[in-house]
Amino acid sequence: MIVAARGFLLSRGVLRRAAAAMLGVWCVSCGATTPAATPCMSDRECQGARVCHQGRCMFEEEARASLRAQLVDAPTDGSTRGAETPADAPPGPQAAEQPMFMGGPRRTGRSHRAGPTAAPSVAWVHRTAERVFASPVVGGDGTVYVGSLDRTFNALAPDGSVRWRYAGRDKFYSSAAIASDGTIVVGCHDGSVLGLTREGRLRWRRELPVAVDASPVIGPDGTIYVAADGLYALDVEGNVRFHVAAAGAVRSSPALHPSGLVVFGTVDGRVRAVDARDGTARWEARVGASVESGAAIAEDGTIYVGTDRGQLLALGADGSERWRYEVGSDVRATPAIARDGTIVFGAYDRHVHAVSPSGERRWRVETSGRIRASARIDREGRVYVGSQDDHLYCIAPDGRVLWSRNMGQDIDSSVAFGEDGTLYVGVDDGGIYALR
Amino acid sequence: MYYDRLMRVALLGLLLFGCSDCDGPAVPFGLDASARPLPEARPAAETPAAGGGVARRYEEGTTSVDLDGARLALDGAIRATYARDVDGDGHADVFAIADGPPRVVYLRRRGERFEAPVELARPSAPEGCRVGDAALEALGPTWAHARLALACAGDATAEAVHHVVLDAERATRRLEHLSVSAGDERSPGALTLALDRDDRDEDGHDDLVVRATLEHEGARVEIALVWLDRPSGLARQPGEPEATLGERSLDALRRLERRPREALARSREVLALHRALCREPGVARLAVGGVAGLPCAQSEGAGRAATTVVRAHAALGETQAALDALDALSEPGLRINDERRRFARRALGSLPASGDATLREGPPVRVAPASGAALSALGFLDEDRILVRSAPPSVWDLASGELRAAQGERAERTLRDPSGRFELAAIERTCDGHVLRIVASGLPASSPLVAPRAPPAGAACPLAGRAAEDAGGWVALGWPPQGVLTMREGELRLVPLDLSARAAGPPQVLEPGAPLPLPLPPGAVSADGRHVVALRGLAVRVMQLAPRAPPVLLWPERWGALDADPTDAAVSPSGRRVAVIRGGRLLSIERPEAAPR
Repeated sequence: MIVAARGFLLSRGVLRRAAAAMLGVWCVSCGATTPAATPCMSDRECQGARVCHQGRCMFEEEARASLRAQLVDAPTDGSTRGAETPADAPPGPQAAEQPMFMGGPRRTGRSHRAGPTAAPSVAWVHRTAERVFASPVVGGDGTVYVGSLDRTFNALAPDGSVRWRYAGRDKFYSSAAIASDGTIVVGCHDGSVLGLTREGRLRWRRELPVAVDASPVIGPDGTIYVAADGLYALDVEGNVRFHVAAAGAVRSSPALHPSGLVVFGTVDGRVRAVDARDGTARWEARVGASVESGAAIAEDGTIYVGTDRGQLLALGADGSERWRYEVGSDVRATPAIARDGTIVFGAYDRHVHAVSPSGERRWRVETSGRIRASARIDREGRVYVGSQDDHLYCIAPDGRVLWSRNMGQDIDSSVAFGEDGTLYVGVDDGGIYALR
Repeated sequence: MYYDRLMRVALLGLLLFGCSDCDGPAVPFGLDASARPLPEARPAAETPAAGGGVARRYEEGTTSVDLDGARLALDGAIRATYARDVDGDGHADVFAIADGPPRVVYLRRRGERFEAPVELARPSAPEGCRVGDAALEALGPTWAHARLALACAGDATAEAVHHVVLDAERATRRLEHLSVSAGDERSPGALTLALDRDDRDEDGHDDLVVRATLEHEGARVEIALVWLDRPSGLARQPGEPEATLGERSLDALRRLERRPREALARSREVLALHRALCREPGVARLAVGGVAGLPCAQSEGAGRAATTVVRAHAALGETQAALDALDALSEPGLRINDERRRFARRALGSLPASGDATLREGPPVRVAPASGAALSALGFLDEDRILVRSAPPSVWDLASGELRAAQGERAERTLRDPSGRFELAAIERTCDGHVLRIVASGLPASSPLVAPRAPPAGAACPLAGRAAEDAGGWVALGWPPQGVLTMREGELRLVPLDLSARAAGPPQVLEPGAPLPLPLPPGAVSADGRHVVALRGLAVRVMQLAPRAPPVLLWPERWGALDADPTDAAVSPSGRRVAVIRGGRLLSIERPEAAPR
C-alpha cells in the first residue's frame, strides 16, 4: 500500500490495473493514432516512486490526475471518442485544465475551476522588479509559476511565499508549461528553453538562435513544441527532435490540433500547420497580416486565430478559411473558446468580443484600454480578462460585466485559476497578484 | 696641445666647407645635402642627425624611396630612415622603420643597392596595429634611436610608444627596447620617455639616460632611469626607481601633519609612478625588452606612500577613501612594516561616523574559523533575532540582548544542494581559475568554475594541475536550486549547476540590482535576497538589490578604534541591521530607517 500525497490510500496494483484499463480504452479509442513509442512497460522499469502509466514513467499523483481527467472526459454512453487523444478530448463539464498557457494544448482558455463571482480582494502580492507579461500557471500542488521581465522565474506557494526563484539571463515573456514528469518548461528571451524540476533545479537547457518569447506547448507524448525562429520540437530531455524554419521570429504560441498538427502563426502573415510527429508541412494559410496571436482549437477542429490586421479568422482543419470577423485593430490575444463554442477575445480596439462559431457577434464589452491579454473562461463560463485600462474584468456568458477591479497598471498577463477559486495574474507594476 | 687644437680646427673646417663641393658619395659623418628623395618617395621631413647621417620621415603609404641613388623598398610601408655609413665603406647604410608589420630594420649598402634587411626589433602588437608616428635619429655619436608610436584601431589598450636604442657602429645590434603602453584607471596618467646619453659612471663611455615623466592629476613627476654602457651591453642601474620613490614618499610624509592634502597628492604621485614603472603591482606600463615593468621588488617608498595616503584621508575625514586606501595596502609590491601598518590603521580611529550607524556590542561567541565555502556564522532569523551557527548553536535576541540556545533552527554552515547529496567543500584556485570543489559522500563530484583565471598573456600557471587553498576573496552565500551563489567584494556570481552538481553553463555575473535566485539561507544575504552585506577589511557595506539602491557604508563611532577585522557578516531582512563577529564578540550595527549615504 502506498500513501498518496492527497491523503488517501491507493495500492500500486489497483493503480496499475486502472492504468492498464485506461490504456485499453485509450488504444481502442485512438484507432490509427497510437501513442508514440513507450519508454516503459512495467513499474519495474521506473525509477524511485514512479509507476508506469500509459507507457510512461510518472509519479503516482500524476497518474491519478491523468486517470481522473480521463474518467471525467470519458463518454457516458459507452461510445468511443473517434480520433481524439485524451489531451485533445472535448472537455466535459469539469475537464481538468492542463498546466500551461490557456489551460491546455488546444489553448481553449477554459478551466475546470471557478473564479470569483464578485470583485475579489488582494490576498497577496509578490513583487518583482519589472512588468509581469507572462501568464501564471498553477501546478498540481497549487504552486504558481510565472516569469517576469526582471529576469526571474518564480515559484510561489499558494500563500504567496517564494518556493524558489530562478535568476535568468534575460526576460521571461513566455508562460510555463508543466510536463507529466513534473518538468517545468519555460522559454527565455535569451534564446533558451529551460527544463526545471519542481524544486527549481535545472534539468536541461536548450539554446536556440533567437528569443523564446511565445509559450511552449506539450503534447500527450511529452514532446515540447517551442516557437523561436520557427517551430522546434524537443523531447523530454530538451533535445531537438525537429525544427521547422520560419521567416522571422515566431511570437505566436503553438497549439496542438486533434488531428496531429501543430498550428502556429508567423510574422510574415501565415498560419502554418505541421505534423506533430516529424514537422512535415501539412498546410499553410496566407492571412495577409502578421500573426502574433496564438491559435485556439475548438472541439470540432476549427482553428481560431487573430491577426494584426484586426481580424479573427476561423480556419478548417485543412487550413481552409471558413470566415473572418472584422475587429478593425490588432488581435494579439489568443482567443478563448467557451463550452458552447463562443469565441472570446480582446483586441487593440479596446473591446472584448464574443463571436459565435459561425462568425456572428454575440456581444461586445468596451474597456478603456487596448487588450493584449488572452481571456480565460472558468467552469461557469465566466470570462476573466485584463485590459490596458488597468482593470481586470469578469464578464458573464451573456456579456454582462459582473465586476471589474482596478489593478493600478496595465494587465497583459492572462489569469490563472487556483483550485480554491483564487485568481492569479501578473500586472505591469511588477506584481503577481492573488485575488480571492 | 697645439697640434690637437690645429687638428680640431682643420676637421671643423672640413666638415663645414669641405663637403659641399664633393662629387662623390656622402662623406662619413657629413651632412648629406645632396640626398634628394625621388618624387614618389614623398618624404615628410629630412633632418641632419646630430650624431651624423641623415634622418628622414615619410608619409604613410610610402613603399619605396631613393637614397643617394640607391632604391630602398621594403615589404609594407617605410615610415622613417636614418642613413649613415656604418661600415665605413663610403656608402650610407640605412636604419629604417617599416610598417606592415611594424619593425626596425638595418640595410647595408653595397654599391648602388641595399642588401637584404636585418630585423633589429619588432614590437609585439595585435593585428590591426600600425605605425602612427615614427622617427629615427642619432643618439650621440655611436647610437641611434628609433621611436614608433603604434596606433591600434578599436583597441586603445594595445597602443604603445616604442623606443629602440641601436648601436650605430655595429649595426646589427639592438641595445635596448623600451615601450610605454596607454594608461588606464589602474595605472593612470600620461607616461612619456625621453632618451639621452650621459657618462653617469664617468668611465669615458656615455650611458643611456631615460627620463620617464608621469603627468598625473595636474602634477608632473620625473625620474631618470640609467642604463650603464658596459662591454656586454647596457646594464640598468638598479637604484632607481626606488631612490626617487623613497625620497618623494618621505617628502610626502613630512607634510602629513600640517598639510595632509599635499601629503596625499604627493603620495598618490609616488604610487602612480610605482604602478607605471614597476612590475610587482601588475599594471606596469613601461616594458623593457618586451617584459612589463622594472623589477622593483618590495618598494619601501611606495609602501610608505600607501600608508601616508590612508593617514592623509583619515586626517581629512574622508572615511570612504581612507578605507579604500587601507584595502590597497594589501596590493603586491609594497613593503610596509608592522609599525607603519599599525599607524595607518590607528588613523582610522579618528574617522567620523558614517551613515548614522550605531554600534551595539553583544556577548562573546566562539565560532570555528571557516573558509569562503562555508556559510556565515551569523544569520538573521528575523529583524530582531540572529542565529549564531556555533557549536552548540545559539540565538542572539537583539530585543532582550540575551544569547540563548537555539531551538530547532538549522545551524549548519556547510552548504548542500537541495537534494542533500552534494556539498561544497572548498573554493580553490586552479590553473583554470577559481573553482568550487563539490563532493558527494566525501568523494570529488565536480569543480565548476566561479571566475576564470586572468593571467598576463603568456604567463605560465605554477600550479600545474593542482589546486591551491586560495578562495581569492570569493565567499559562498547559498545553494539555491539553480546553483551556488558567490560574492567577492560586492560582485555577485551564480555558478549554475545541473542535477549532478556539474556546471550548467558559465558562471553568471549578476548585474547590480539583479534579483538573486532563491531560497537562500540568511547570512551575508537576507533570506529574501533583497539585501547583501559585503566586508572588505574594516569596511562594511550594505547593498539593496531590489529595488536597487547605492551601497551604504556602515561606519559607526569607535569602529576604527577596535582591533581585529570583522568577519561573518549577516544582514537583516530590512537591510537596516548588520551583525558581525569581531575580536570574538558579537556586534550589531544599526542604521535608521532612511539612511543617508
